[in-house]
Amino acid sequence: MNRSILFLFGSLILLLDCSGAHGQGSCGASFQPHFSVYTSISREGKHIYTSVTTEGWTDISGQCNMSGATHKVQAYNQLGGTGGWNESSWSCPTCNFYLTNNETIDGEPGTTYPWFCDGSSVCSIVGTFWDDGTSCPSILGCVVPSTETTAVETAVFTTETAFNQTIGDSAGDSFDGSTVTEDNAAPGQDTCWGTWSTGPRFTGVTGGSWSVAGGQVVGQPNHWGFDDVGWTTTAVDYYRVQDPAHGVGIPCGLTGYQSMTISCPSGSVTYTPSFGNKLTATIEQTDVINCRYDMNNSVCQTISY
Amino acid sequence: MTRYVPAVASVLMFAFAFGAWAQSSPPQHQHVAPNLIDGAVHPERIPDSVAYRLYLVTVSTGQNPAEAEQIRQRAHLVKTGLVDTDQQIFTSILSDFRTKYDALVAEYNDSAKAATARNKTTDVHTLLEKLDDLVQSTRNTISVRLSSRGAAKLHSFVVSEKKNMKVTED
Repeated sequence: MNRSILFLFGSLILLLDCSGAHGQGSCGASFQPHFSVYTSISREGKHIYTSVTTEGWTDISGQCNMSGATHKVQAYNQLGGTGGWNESSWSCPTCNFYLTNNETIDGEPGTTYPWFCDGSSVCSIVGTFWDDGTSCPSILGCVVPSTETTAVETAVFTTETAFNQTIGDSAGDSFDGSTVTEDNAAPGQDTCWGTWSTGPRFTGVTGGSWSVAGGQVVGQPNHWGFDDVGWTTTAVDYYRVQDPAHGVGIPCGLTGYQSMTISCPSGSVTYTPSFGNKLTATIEQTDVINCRYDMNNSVCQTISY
Repeated sequence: MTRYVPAVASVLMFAFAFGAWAQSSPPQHQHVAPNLIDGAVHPERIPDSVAYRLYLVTVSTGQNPAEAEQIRQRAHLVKTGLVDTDQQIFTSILSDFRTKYDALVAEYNDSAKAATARNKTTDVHTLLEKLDDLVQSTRNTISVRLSSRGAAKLHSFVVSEKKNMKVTED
């Protein structure tokens, strides 16, 4: 509001000044501002980056004594109460200007941050003579992935599958550097285990953490992994013999319900549905089948063993 | 409220008086209202070359950028969907672009300042042609050095960013 009043006031003075020019007839220069503004939001997990670029020039035709005037450009970038105007140095009226004003904050989940942006050009004589009136959207803090898809990376430890996940959202935000952590959305199920078993019963996922675009998926933006799913060869060998011996049929298997959280400044936020991702590992007579049912797809790998 | 009216009137009178008094010395401006294209409404009216220029100027850094600048630039680049290898190549292309862009504008501004001192104006179109050539050669370099998929992703991203641009129509 204040900037609008300033601009209107500047325009008023400008008009008064221009009428003087017409009346005088000694300086008939024409001024055509050619300025542009580009506003941009980028995010990496909790980090929010905004930029406002003002660039351009003033086309001046005709003859006029310009030695007393200078121009500058300004870019306004205020994000969540941080930041404000940034401006170029004063220079000649026909000079070319470009200026980028950057801001960065760490966003909290569920909090909306107001973003105000603007670009303008200012003359030392008449004040603000061009303003793009840009309005910028508010920004939601610490966005979480809205999609997660799974792909089979490879078989590992003979009978397990390494799954590679891709997370994202409709805005194309980057989650690189964030930490995702698994937990149990519901108790796991194990149809191979019996009270006679010498090994432990599967009751849920182990609580692993992964750095997005780090570790085994370094260089892969918005990927996390690998998430290894499957029985060990020892368990496969054991249950293929012991289950039938104890009246339990083959195939048998485990099912886990994996909830996923992502790190934000105030803690972690769960981004998977309440029922979680379903992970299954099935022991058959001559192979094992490992599956990951993700938010947006499911994929299985059958390994002959 | 009423008590402020005389003060406002005084300011307006001063503005009139200054405009009249100032006729003999400072420049008198006749501003033409710009025809601003809002890319959120009419992206098709913003030329690709202008969109690239704005984007490249915004995401490029000078030589030896500070760590904070590198992090911010990376956030910009990740948004394009480029894979790491393409990002690294693009980063070096951006650095070259910025060095040349800074030099062209500095050269022009020096001549513009000198012309202003002589009460002359400079032809900005010479600079604009050089900047257009630089943008085009940068786009050519992107096409050659990035993977074909990366170059296509970047192009479609820059074009989609027109929605966040406001450009004065030539």
